[in-house]
Amino acid sequence: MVASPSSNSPSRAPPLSGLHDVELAALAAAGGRGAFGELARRHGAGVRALLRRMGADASLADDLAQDAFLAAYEHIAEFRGEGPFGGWIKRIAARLYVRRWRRRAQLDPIEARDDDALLDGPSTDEGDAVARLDLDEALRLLSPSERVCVSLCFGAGMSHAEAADALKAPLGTVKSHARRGLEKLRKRLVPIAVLPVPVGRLAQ
Amino acid sequence: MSDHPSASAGPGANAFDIQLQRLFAQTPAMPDAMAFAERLQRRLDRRWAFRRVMITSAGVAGALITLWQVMSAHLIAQADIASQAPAAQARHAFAVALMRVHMATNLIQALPFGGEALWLIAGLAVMAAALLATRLFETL
Repeated sequence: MVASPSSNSPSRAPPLSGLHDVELAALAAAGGRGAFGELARRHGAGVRALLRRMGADASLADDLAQDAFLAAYEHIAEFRGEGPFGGWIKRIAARLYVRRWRRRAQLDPIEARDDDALLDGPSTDEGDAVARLDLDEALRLLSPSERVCVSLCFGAGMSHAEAADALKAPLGTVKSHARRGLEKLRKRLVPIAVLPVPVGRLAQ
Repeated sequence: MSDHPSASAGPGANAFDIQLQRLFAQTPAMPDAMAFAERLQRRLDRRWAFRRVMITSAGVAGALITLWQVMSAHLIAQADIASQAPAAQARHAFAVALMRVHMATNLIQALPFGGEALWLIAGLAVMAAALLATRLFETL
């Protein structure tokens, strides 16, 4: 059973929901499974969403997210709050997915293709703006290799080198897939480029 | 080409890259978020319970081995005392010990396989138990 914040006595300790991720991680490292449950509540949806965006179906994404959280709990002492907990757990989950993905697939070899041809697809008229804002829909236009590379770099926050290491693929191949995927997304999601960036969101 | 993903699309790409990171960071609402967390909590609790059982089992096994060693040492000490006792008592103790060893040997020989096979089976059973425990731990 998940320990709800109300299960803690307010007179002795602040509710878990009021604690920062780093504080919760410290509590979890000391054996607090309730604190880790709170971290799972906060970041579970983000991890599951990333896995789905990488190409996992809902069931697989849930299973891998569970495995990622269990692995994170085993190594929670290694999390020192130098980066956001959400990024840390996403990288763990992304590596789990990539490990599984590599068993049945690998990055497509890069061919000399016409990038304009790659970008052929549904119209990008202004009237289609709402659809273009849907990242999940746009990601479906990418090849599996492009989707994985873009998700690793922009969803899991990995560098190209880290993504290449996770994929056990040449760095140049990963860069090429990421660039092609990015170009496709740019074409599909172009209206968002003019939107202001909420600094608070990026800080997360 | 820089190793940073934002630099992969050339000049002017940063704004779009930041927006893309922002889109990735946006978490869609998932109605089963609580169920997901509860399932994870149950798995954590099961793992913890399994680990406690394993640690307790290891402790009990260690205690039993220690007890056996202590008792063996005590028996040896008794045999030493018996050897210093009068000859009749010593002969009696030796005969009893010999009879026990003979009975145990007969039991092993009565099996359809030899003593070495017994040790081999015991070793394999321990390995199988260890593998099973590992698989269980992985599943939990």
